[in-house]
Amino acid sequence: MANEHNALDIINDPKNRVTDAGNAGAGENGNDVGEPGGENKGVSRRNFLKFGGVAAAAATMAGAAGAGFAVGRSDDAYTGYGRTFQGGDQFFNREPFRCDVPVMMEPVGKVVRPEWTEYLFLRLRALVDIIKSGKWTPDMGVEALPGPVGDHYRARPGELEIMLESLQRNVKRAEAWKKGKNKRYALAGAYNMALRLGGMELPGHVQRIPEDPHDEHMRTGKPIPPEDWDYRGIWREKPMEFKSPKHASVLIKRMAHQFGMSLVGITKFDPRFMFKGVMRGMPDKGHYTWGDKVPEHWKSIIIFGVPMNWDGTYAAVGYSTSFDAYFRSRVAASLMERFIRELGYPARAQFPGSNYEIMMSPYVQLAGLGQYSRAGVVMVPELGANFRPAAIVTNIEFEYDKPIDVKMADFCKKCKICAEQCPSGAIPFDDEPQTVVRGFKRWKLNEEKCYQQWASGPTQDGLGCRVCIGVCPYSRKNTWIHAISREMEPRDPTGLVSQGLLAMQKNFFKFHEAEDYRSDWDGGKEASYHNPPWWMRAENFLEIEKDWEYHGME
Amino acid sequence: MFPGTTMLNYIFWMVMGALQVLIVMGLVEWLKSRGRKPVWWQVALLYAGFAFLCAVVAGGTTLMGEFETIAGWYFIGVLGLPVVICLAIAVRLFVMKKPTQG
Repeated sequence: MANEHNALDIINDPKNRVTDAGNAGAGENGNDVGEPGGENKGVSRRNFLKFGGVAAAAATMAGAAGAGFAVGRSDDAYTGYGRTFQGGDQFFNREPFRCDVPVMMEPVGKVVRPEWTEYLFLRLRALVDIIKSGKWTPDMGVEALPGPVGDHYRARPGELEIMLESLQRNVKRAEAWKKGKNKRYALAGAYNMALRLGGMELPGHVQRIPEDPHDEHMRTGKPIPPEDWDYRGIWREKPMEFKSPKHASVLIKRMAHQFGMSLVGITKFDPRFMFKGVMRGMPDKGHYTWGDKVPEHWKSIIIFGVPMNWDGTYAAVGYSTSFDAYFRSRVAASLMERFIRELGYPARAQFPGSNYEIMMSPYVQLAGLGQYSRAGVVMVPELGANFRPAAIVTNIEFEYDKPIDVKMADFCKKCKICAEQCPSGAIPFDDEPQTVVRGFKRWKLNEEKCYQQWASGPTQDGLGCRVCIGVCPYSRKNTWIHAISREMEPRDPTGLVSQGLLAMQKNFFKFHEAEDYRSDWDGGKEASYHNPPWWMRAENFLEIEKDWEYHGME
Repeated sequence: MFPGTTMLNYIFWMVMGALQVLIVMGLVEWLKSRGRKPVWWQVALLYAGFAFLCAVVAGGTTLMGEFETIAGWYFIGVLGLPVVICLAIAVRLFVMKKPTQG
């Protein structure tokens, strides 16, 4: 009896009464216990979840926006200076895309080795020497131009005139620099020269790093053949033997990352891509005596490199330089040369700006690092066109990398942004590669026109333009949206991803007119694709009057 | 994302993950309050639409962070609009439409 009375009291006590909110399923989850009369205090669970969910959605949207902006602006997006020794910047997995022959490297005719005169800087230097010696003046005409340089220009009508105009433009560029450009571009010029004359070379084109056999020849007056130079400093009686070619490859690649390089590939040395008549260390760099000899110990070639500074490249022409990447690649080349010789093997560095016996582009492709592009540079998946390599030639037996096909060349067929943006019109507009160059059909850059823009740009030394590299859709930093694009595009057999990306690139991203990039004295606006980074704006730090406008995307 | 700290990045993403739970539970409660029985694939579809919209916003702001501001706004507008339309259709179908008498 007592228990029943107590139970009824509990049931009838208004404090214990549960209010019914009239919602389906309300009984399962329970509702607030309220005062008699049904007034609820506090927030119901349902309302908390509903309104909390809305607030959470708004916070998520805001968080996504903030995170996206922070990622895009972050310094961590600047891939490519070997931030991790494990090559962590090398985030693109090439294995699914390996092929046997790089795109545009299947011979369509007789493959011919390049002559030394086909290398613009060697040709230019020789031409200037001929003019300085008094042996030839421009008014004598191309027929009287002596030697291999004359043969080169006689075979290519019209190109000598472009080069001669470039030499005159160099003079105007230097005058413009002295008159006032040195103020606007003070920081860009100082940065450039710090790397060039503080890092890469001494005045008079003597190399600081790496050592160059040409400098040794000039210093001693003696010929320095590769059989001497490449073996210098080896103290071991015989080379240390690797456990296998694969072990050798793994070690050398790790050392390349250890030496600060982002990307590295190894391939067999193919003499088809070695210049004829070039051997540094021999008199006149071997132009007139070396011929087509190939050193016996040149068996393998290791290619490695980094990008140029991203923000500077995007602000080409005036705020960009190749030398930050060149300097780093040269340092790694010097270190790798010595490392290999310490193990008892010969090693010879091939390094930028013009210290080569080889053409770099074919080896970069053969080593599976990238693909040839419309603009005449090799693009790599991680860095686009923004990749500046050096190489080491040696006789170590490696497990070689295979080339890749990530459909970059297919994208180039439709894109053409570099051709549209090129201030000198040097990049071809053909949908398909049309020109047969030494046995291979590819897009052929008009290097004389390209150099003309270099000679006219608002830079201190006239060495580079880089607009094509900055505007290339593949030359993007390491943010998630570009990583997704890079991964999806080559894997899509339908081509829809590629078309979608190209449509976005052409319609979302705004570009200048090509002539806007030219110097103001050359009819342009000195525009840049992006505005220069804050640390390159002289007016931010120096007591100068800003009397120019920026014409870049911001 | 948070210069000068090592922990805030992790805490940020942990909080973002926790917020997703609140979003889904709120979505379920909202469906119930509209007299609908939450069906798992409808909830998943609505949440996926919302997540995709967040991804579009994040993609646009990433481009803005890379100094491609114009491209960022185009990205959000051109890609976000279809998502908003699809979400509106889904809400109309799954939430607003009267359940069929059964």
